[in-house]
Amino acid sequence: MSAHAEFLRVAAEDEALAARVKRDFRKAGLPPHEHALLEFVETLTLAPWEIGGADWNRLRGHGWKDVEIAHAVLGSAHFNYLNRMADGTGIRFEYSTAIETYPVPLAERAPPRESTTGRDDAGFPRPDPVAAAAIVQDLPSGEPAALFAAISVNPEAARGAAAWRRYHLRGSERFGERDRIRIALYVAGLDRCPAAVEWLRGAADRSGIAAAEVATLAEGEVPAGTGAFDRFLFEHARRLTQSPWLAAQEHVDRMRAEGWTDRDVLRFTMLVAYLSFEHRAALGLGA
Amino acid sequence: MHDEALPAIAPPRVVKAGEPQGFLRMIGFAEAMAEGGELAETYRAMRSGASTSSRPSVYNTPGGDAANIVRCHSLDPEGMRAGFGISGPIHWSERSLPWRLRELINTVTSQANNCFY
Repeated sequence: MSAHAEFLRVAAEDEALAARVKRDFRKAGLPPHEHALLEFVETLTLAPWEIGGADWNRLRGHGWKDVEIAHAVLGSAHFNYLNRMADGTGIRFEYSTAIETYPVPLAERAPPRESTTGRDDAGFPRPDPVAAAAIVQDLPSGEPAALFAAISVNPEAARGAAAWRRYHLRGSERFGERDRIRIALYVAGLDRCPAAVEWLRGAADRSGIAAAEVATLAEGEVPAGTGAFDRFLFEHARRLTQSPWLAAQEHVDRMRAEGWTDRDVLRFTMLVAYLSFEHRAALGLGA
Repeated sequence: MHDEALPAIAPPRVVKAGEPQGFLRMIGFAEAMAEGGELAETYRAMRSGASTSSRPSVYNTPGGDAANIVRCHSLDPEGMRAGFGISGPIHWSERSLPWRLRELINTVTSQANNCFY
């Protein structure tokens, strides 16, 4: 079942469409331009590192404006955050729906595209310089200006994203800034977002994370000699990043057994979920 | 991309009476109002916000409480504000895509993540 298929049913005033999209958007009979946009959204979700300028040009060819494509990126990126929060915290489905449940066999899901030529940057939009400057000028030094300049197509969203990032990289009593940066580097490696790795280098250096460890984490690898609980945290971050539907009560209980409060667990989950937004916004907008 | 053994189908998690509604403690609207404090102020602000007050009624939960996707943030009101503060500008502003298109995007994103939400 799907909460948002139910909301789609109402938004589209079309229960049959919502049911078809929920089953398989490719067979839902959508017009070509919407089909193309949803293929883009699916790739952004499953393999954001595959998004290139050619994808933007393809959507432009279907008549989509840059501001619309950018909002599709931001909307899907934010939803990637919400999906990981839903699964990472194990919330239950509380809405009623008239749409029949269609389980999604994972084996039938379209696999991520394999890159043959590498990511091309030509074709990504250039931020409006005035809008970007208005956002960037207010950023503290060391923050990723390119990311928020790319989001400046929606200035309120750009400011919100900057505050959001700042919050999640700020250390808490249980999980300090250094630990957060290590997780952020690791997830950037898993999401194949080199820009995010670069944005973290300064903070990693200030936190005393050695260059060799940064390099290992940026490959999505856990450094040798990592202790058992820290290794579990990296594994859980990987789970939340790549297969959030596999998050289970036992993972929360593992953290509780280590003395973590539910708030500590929540903050860790929120950090990893936030990173899924940041990397998709960055890769999808060409930051 | 996936290096774990995957189940054939991810089972949906459905509310049953008396069962916890998540892995973590969650504080709903009524409890927050009774206690007062930062969470109460955050809930109040979210409910009275321009993007929330104009939202279609289909998003209202059957019991009238905050949706579980909001409540799951409740132990961290600042994190709740940060995560949902960006939601209005992206999904519910004059720059946002039309509602039908947004829900198409949301549905496909959730399906790709094998998420019930």
